[in-house]
Amino acid sequence: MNFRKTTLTTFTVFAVAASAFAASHSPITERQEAMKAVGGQMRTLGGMAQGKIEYDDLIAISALETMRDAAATAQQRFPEGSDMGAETRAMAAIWATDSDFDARMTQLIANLDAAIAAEPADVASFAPLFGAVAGSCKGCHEKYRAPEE
Amino acid sequence: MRLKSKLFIGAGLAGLALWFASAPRGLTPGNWLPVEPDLARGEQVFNIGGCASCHMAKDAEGNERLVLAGGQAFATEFGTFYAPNISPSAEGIGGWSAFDLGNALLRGVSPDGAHYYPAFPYASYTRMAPQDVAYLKGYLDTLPPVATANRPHDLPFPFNIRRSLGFWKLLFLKNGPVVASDESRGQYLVEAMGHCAECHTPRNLLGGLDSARWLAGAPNPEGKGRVPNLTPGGDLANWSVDDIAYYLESGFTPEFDTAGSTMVEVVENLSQATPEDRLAIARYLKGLPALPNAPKP
Repeated sequence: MNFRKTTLTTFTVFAVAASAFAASHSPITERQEAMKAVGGQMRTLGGMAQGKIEYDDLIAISALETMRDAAATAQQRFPEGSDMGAETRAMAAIWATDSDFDARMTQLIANLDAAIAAEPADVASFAPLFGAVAGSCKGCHEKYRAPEE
Repeated sequence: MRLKSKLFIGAGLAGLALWFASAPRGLTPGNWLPVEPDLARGEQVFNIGGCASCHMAKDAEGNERLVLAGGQAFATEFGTFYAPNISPSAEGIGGWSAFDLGNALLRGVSPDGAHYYPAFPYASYTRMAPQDVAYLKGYLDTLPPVATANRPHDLPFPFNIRRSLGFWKLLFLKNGPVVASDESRGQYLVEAMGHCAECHTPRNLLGGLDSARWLAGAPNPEGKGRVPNLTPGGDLANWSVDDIAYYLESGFTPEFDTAGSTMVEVVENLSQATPEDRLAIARYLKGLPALPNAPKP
């Protein structure tokens, strides 16, 4: 193996490693992880709201807190131009000048904060708070997420 | 008789036969039963039938969803269709009787006796009960009138020949039940009023629904992706009846993902249906013949 070839091989190895590192730490993968975390909590909370799972205020509040942290993380992971580079359903409209994406994210976090602060003791007081959170998820997905391929 | 004139007469007779075969066939006034108005029932038909989704302004919200001036464009492989005004005005359907609306929904025939294009899903509505049409007309008459003129469809030859739809109807306008089902209310809501198959069943080259692949998913008419398979052999295989009913009410899947695309509008409509009707739809879907997803193209 001559020098040039070795250099090229080394360079290729580094380039592949670097791009793998970049992919696993890209805003796209990070926000997708955060969204998955949110989805997992939503299954617990939604089950309680539907009466499929018995309501437990401690579990509910802790799930809401996890969601709040994941939502705050996700909000930071939508830098301009991150609608490409990896597989993502985020629409370019998120970064348009008339976008209310950031305001919607802030509203979601506010709805989660309100639900946590209210410390709902029973499913009757929990359900409307959950409804507001779920409505935020839905509204933003409808406007800013492209249909599945 | 010379061969030429025989051919001439033959062609003339064939033309005449085709002309009669393609004639719009409306309802006979005699089988039309008037009903007592019932606005609440009319509103249910309106919501489950999804009239607003196509006839309101695109992306309208709140009370604007009840302004049915038409105008939304639907680009298809046959050309672009524009939804007409169905508000109770002179430009809309203000002058129509319930019988006229019945002819439109159940036969695809306009008050002046012309065929409608099946972008208007009368191939499903044809299975509707006449009294539901009459309830619907009563409700539509209470909505705000708008004086917006209809925009003509933009269709290339030969699809711009309305008369040819007579042949399409001979092939595809059938009003019996499509599959066997124990859930008659759910069947009525899905196969007739809700017209679910119009998007969830694949079409043949002539735009007719492929009943062998009933509700088994289809390419997305609006571009990317595919419309989900609703049979127990497909995307909803692991959904319970309650899961389906909850999705139709809330827009959340069992994984708490959200409805997308045009289903957002459908959920908006069905969230206003009764819980019993959503459960009936779910039971009908769970009882469908299980079909696998179509292979990816």
